[in-house]
This record gives sequence, structure tokens and C-alpha cells, in this order.
Amino acid sequence: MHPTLRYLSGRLLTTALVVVGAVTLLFALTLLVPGNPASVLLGPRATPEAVAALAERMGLDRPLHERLLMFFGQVATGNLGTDVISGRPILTMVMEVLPFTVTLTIAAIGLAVLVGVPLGCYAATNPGSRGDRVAAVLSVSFIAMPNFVVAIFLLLIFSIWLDWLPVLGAGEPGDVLDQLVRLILPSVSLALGWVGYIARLMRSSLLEVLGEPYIRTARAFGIPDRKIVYKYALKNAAIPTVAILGLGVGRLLGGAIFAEIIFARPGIGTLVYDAILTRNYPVVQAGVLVVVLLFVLTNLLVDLSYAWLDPRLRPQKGVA
Amino acid sequence: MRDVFARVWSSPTGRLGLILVALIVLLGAGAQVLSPYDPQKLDVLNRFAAPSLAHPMGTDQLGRDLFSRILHGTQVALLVALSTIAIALAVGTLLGIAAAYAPPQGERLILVLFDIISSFPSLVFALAVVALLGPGLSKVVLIVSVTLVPHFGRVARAQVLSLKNAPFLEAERVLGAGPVRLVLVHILPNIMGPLVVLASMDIPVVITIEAGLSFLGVGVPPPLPSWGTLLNDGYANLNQSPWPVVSSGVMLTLATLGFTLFGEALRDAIDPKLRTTP
Amino acid sequence: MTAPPLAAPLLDVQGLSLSFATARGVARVLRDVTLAIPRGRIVGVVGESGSGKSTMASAVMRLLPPNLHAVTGSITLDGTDLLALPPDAMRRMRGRRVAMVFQDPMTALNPVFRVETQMVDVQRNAFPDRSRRELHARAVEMLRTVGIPAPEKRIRDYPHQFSGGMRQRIVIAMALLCEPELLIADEPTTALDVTIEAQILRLFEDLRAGFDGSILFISHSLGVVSSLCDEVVVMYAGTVVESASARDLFTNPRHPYTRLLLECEIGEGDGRGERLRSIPGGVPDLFDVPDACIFAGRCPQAHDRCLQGVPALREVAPGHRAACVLA
Repeated sequence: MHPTLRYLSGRLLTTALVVVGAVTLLFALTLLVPGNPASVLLGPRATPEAVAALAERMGLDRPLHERLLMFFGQVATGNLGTDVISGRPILTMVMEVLPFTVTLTIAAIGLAVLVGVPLGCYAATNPGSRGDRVAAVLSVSFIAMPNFVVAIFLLLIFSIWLDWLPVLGAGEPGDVLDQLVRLILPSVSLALGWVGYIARLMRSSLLEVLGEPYIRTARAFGIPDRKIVYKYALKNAAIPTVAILGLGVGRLLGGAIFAEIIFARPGIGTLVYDAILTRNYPVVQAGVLVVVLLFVLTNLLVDLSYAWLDPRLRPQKGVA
Repeated sequence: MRDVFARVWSSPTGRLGLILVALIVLLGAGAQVLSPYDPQKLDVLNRFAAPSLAHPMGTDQLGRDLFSRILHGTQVALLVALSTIAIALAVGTLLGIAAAYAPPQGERLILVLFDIISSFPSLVFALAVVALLGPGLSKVVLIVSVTLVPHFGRVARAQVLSLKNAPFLEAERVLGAGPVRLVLVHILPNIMGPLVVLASMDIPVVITIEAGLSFLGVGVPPPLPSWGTLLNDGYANLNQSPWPVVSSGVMLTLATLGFTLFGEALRDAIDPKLRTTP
Repeated sequence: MTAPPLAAPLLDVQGLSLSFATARGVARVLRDVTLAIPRGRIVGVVGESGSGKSTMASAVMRLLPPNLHAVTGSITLDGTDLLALPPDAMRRMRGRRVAMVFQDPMTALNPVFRVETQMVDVQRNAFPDRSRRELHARAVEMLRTVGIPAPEKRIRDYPHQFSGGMRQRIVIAMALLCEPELLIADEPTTALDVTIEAQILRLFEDLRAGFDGSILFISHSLGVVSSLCDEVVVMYAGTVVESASARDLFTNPRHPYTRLLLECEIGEGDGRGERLRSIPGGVPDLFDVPDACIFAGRCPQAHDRCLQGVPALREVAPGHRAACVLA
């Protein structure tokens, strides 16, 4: 088999293993819930009959391996069960709010790249300058600041002290401008740390690439510095940054929970948070599952995007 | 040791980090002595007070002294961070060494386990577990340490692998040293450097996760003060007074900033090769 | 014997001295280097690693590392003092007026761009008005000229899909595309194996016919240079020790270092490898250069006079210069 294909199939296999492991882990966690999950869900005043009925509906009386298989079946078919509180399918509830979380995460990544990459490029092309040092201090401060602190401070400054932006909620359905305005502060709060990460990473990998012999070749042919940095070096330097972004999606999804709660936006975060408060664990499970799947999927996508950035990793016809 | 300290101190950011860390450790360790009030003492008539001589950081929604609560929160944050890192370091290192010496299947099993754990974003994982099992200080410590185990495990394994066939170990083996002795006496001291660096760089991560979980109400249970719960109380009453949010937010940021700067300076001083991971 | 050309040389390097600031101190990498490249000629520069030949080439391109400490002397290309040019004017000289082929073809091309992109981009400086289509067509033709089979197809490939020898052909094609007046080849065959080296050298010989610029060919092997070049400059530890027409140098070497070089190469036969192992002594310390002949420490014929000042590079026969008191 071709090395690249072998790599890809290996990567897919690991991904599949990770998904199976993650689902099993999620299932195992429910076993650790103290007390009968059905009675926990229904609250202390539920009648024993109601608890027993719910337990049966949830399959709690079956043997363990059967329950595990059932759980896998549910996950595979997307049938995550029905929410006992609202009586609606859990999958529908998750799918309803998923776009909000995905929008927020993409906006945050976009913002982080849009600010972080130029900042890193500037620092790398002026190493040791005053601007470079300012960028370094800014970057590390951004990285160190927990995003929920940023979110609360943004809320305090812009909504309470300055009273500038309507900040809470996701905006009126159909009013794109309103939705965009309400996206600003949450995505800034999420993106800030990543601006720091990306700027630092860009700086170091760009500095490394600028020392490569092929950059010297480009200089020896009189290609303008700007073109060397932004065309020839940037694509090489982007490879490690893309790798970090893959990891970043996971942390961003975690951070999105805070941004959603603090700015009262609908999303997976608020869904899971509300479910935690009501101890509605099937919903917690479903929300976490979706986040984990998204995370694994983006990591896979990131791995595949290497081949786009780095032709050396593509399947090839042979070397002359 | 003295050399490492000197190198950390010689960089401006390392020095700032060291000063912040020292300050925070001092405040946390001396919380009981330094607090002007009992952190739980209510003073409902004096709620939402602005900072003053009597209350350097003001009071919260129940009139409790914020300065005292923040000092105790510092103690909680440090305790959680240190115990979490200690557990993750111990378990991760053991698993890493085991992976390096295990037969291929065993090694793969451990690595896949690491992959699975890291496939959960740590905060989401912690959230799921605490949500299902109920809040509690020890649970937070346990869960967060589990999410950090792969971190240490992978580095430990890589370190051991690079060391495994070193001539001096070969010599020890020939001289009849048992595997336990080899690991304890010869391998551990040689792989500790990068692991200590990693541990120090994970401290701000753990502090942030603890504060985050507590902010969501699933971390450190009340009445124990945590920076996260303080932030949440302040957030809920943001319209009444900005002081709880400002004081706890600034303190939390100073702590993570201090530990981040310190950890990075330590990394640069001990093992600059680790620089690739953020 | 070739008569010295009457016209002014294309490249004229006069008294070039250059030093780098390093952790150990200031390294005087080039000291009073003087050489000239006549129009249409191939001049070989020979010396072991550390002789400063590559630094000299970088100085002509003005692609020197940032730890450059001081430069004196002049580098004149066709009447223009390159060292005095503002950076942007110097950038516009590169490629169009003077192009360079590097030592290691494996790293000289950008791995993440197609050969086509890189071959088109390098021509932009020399031919700003030509269309992309035109530049592409020229690139394909040039690939054919340097011996890449099926160039119209291969030009869409990435560098890693070519072997080292093919990559060096591509870099040479890139340089020729710009139609420079001066082509600098910095050890273009050192990183290649012997058969490929011979092919690339043959390529250079074939190219002579179609290329009317001058070539500065750097090598650490007199054998490589002998067949290709009109004139040869021998460098040692940052100075020029001898320069002459290729024939003069081989039949009548005047500097002891050149003689040793020749003996070593003849002894080794294949004209490659670390031939200087057999000259006793090490490369001199460039951090503390004595006021004496720099080769005196290793010279089999050294005597008192060699330690009294640096010997000047003087004409010992028409068109033949050597920096040795005995020559």
C-alpha cells in the first residue's frame, strides 16, 4: 500500500477507535451516577411506579452489555432518546442549538486567525523591535487570561459602563445585522487567547521558515520581501498553525460554554449547562457527545488539510 | 538548581512571573493570617460596598469581605492546582514509562487510551463527569488530573524511549540492575526536567479549569470560596456592583499570567526543545 | 596563453574585506579579496570549506547574514557599485542582472509550491511586462533546454517529485530564464553524486554556447573547474592566493597551496572528496589573523620572510598573479 494511503487508513482507524472509546466512556460515566438515574431525573417526589416505568423505558433493567450495545445503536442512528422534561427528541434539541455554537466557534477562529496571523507576521519580520516586544507581551497576556474573565469584563465594559452594544442573546431570527452585532463580544472573548497563541506560533514558525534555503533562493531572484513573506514563507509556516487550530477547536468548544452562558446565547453550552442544573443527564450526555464528535472530526479534517498545505504528504505518482 | 533560578530571573518576563508566583503563593499560604475578616461572615447591611480602608476590595452581595474571600480562594486554587498536577504527574509518568517498556500491543493500548482521553476537551470532560457525579473538591481534582495524564504520559514515554538504549543504561543492565532499580535510580532523574517544566506550565491550565467549573457551579462547593464562585456571584450581581467581578477576575488573571510567565521561563531555562506545544 | 581582455571586466571586486560578529568575537572572513570576471568568460573560484568563496558570492548578491560586522572595498558590476546601491535597487539587480545557483538543490526550491509557480515568479523581476502565459511558455522551453523530459507535464509537479540532479537542473533553468549578465554557481554539484555531477557539469558546458553572460563557478575541486573554466582563482582562508588562466594554473602553479591542491587531487584520482586531508595543519583562526602569510603555518616551504607582513597579490607572469614571496 502507498505510504500516504497507509497513513490515512491508520488515521481513520485511530479516529474510529477514539470515537468508540469516547462513547464507551460516556456510557460508563452514567453507571457511576449515584442512585437510580430514573429517580434522579424524576426528582424525590416521584412515585416508585413512575420511576420503574421510566427505568424500563430507559432500558435500565437490562444487562450491562445489552445496554452498552443499545447505547451504541442509539448513537449510530442518531436516536439519542426523548427528553423526559420537555418530551421532545434530544437530537432535535441538540440540532436546534448546534448552529449557534458552530457559528460562534467559527467566528472566533476566524477572528483569531485574522488578528493573530498578521500580528505574528509583523513580529517575525521585525524581530527584536519594540513592536515585536509589545506583541510578545500582548500575546502572553491574552493566552493567560481565562476566556470567561474576558467575557465578563467585556460585558461589564461595553454593556454596563458604556452601554454601547446590545450584547445578550443571539439576536432576532432573520435580522442578520443584529445577529452579527451580538456575535461580536462572545467571539472576541473566545478568540482573544487564540490571537495570542496564533501570533506566537506564527512568529516562531515564520522566523524558522525565513531562514530556510528556499527563501534565500527567492531573495536571490529579487522577489520582493513582501511577496516572499506573504506568499512563499506563509504557506510553509501555516502548517504548524493549522495543527494547533485543530487542538484549538476542542478548547474553543469548551470555552463556548462560558461565552454562551455569560452572554445568554442559545447553544450546546447553554443546553448542557441547563441540563446540568436540572440533572437531566441524557441531555448532558448528548451534548458532550456532540462536542466530542465535532472535536474528533475537526482533528481529522485538520490532519487531512496538511496534504493540501504540504504536497509532500499527497499520494504521488512516483519520483523522477 | 541555582543555575535554573538565575536563568529564570535573568529574563524580564521570567522575573515578573516569579514575583507574581511568589506573591500568590504567599497570599494563599497566609490566607488565614492575612485575612482581615472571616470569609464567611455576613454583613447584610453593608452589601456591595466599594473598596475602602475597612474592605480593601469591597464586599459581595451578602456583605462578606471580598479581600478575605479572595485570599481563601487563592488557597483553594493553589491546593487544587498542586494536588491535580501531582496526581497527573505521578500517574502519567508511570504510564509513560510502562508504555515505553511494554510489548507493542500494550504500548498501543496505552497510547490509544491517551488519545481517547485527549479527544475530550478537558473542560467538557470535567463538566460531564461533575454533572453526572455531583460537585466536590476531590472530584474536580481527580477528573482534571485524568485529563492531564496523557500530557505527562506522552512526554515521559518519549523521554524514556530516547534514553532506553543509552550506553550507560546498557552498562547498568549488564551489571545486573533490576528494572525497578533502573527506572527509579537511572531513568526517573533523567526524565524529570521536561516533566517538571510541563507540570509548571499546566498549573495555569488547572487554575483556569477549576475557576471555570466553579463559575459554572460544579466545581468547588460553597461555602468554600473559589475565584470561580466569586466571579459567578459577581456576574449574577453585575448590575449592583462591579467590584466582586473586577477583584476576582484580576486576581485570577494575575495568577494565570504569573504561572504562565514562570512556566515559560522555566522551560527556556531547562529544556527549550519543549517550545513547540502551546 | 590567453591574452588579458582589454575591455573593462563585467564584475570587478576590489579589496573586499568582510567580517562577521560571532559569540567568539569578530571573524575576518574575507580580507582584501580582488578578482575580476571578464564578459562572456567562466571564472572558477576554488578553495576548501571556510576559504570564504561562498561568502564572496553572497557578498556579490548582497545576501549576507545579519551578523555582518563590517564591509570595505568595492564590488562593481558593469560600472555599478553594488555595495553602494540602496536595498530596493539591489533587489532589482538580483535575478535580472546577477542570478545564483545554490549548493544543495534538495533545499533550494520551496516544497509547497509547484515548479511552475516558482519558475514564473523568478522571471517577474527581469520581465515585468510579459504575461503569465508567456513566462510559462519560456519556463517550459528552458526546462527542455536543461534536459527535463516532458517539461510541459513535469512543470506542474512539486519539487519533491524530482531527484536531486533534476532539481539542480530546475534551479539552473530558473537562473537562465532571467538572462542575467552574471551567473553565480555556488558549488552546484557538491551535494550530488559523481555521475549526476558529471551530467550537471556537461550541462554547464553545453550551456556556454547559448548563454552570453559570464559565469562565476565556485567549487572546492580544481578538477571540476579545470575543464569548465577559462580562468581560475584560488582562495585560502579568506584571501586570494593565486589567479591565472586555467591552463597556466594547471601547468605552472606558483603558490605552494595551489601546488598542494593539485598534488592531492591527482593523488586521489576522482577529483572529489576531502582532498585537503593530506595537507598537514588545520584551517587558520580567522578571529585572530596574524600579520603574515596566512598559509605559512601549513606551508612546506615557509621561512622567515613569510612572517613579515601579508604578501601582496602581484603579477608573476602576464595574466598570472600569486600572493607568495617565493612566486
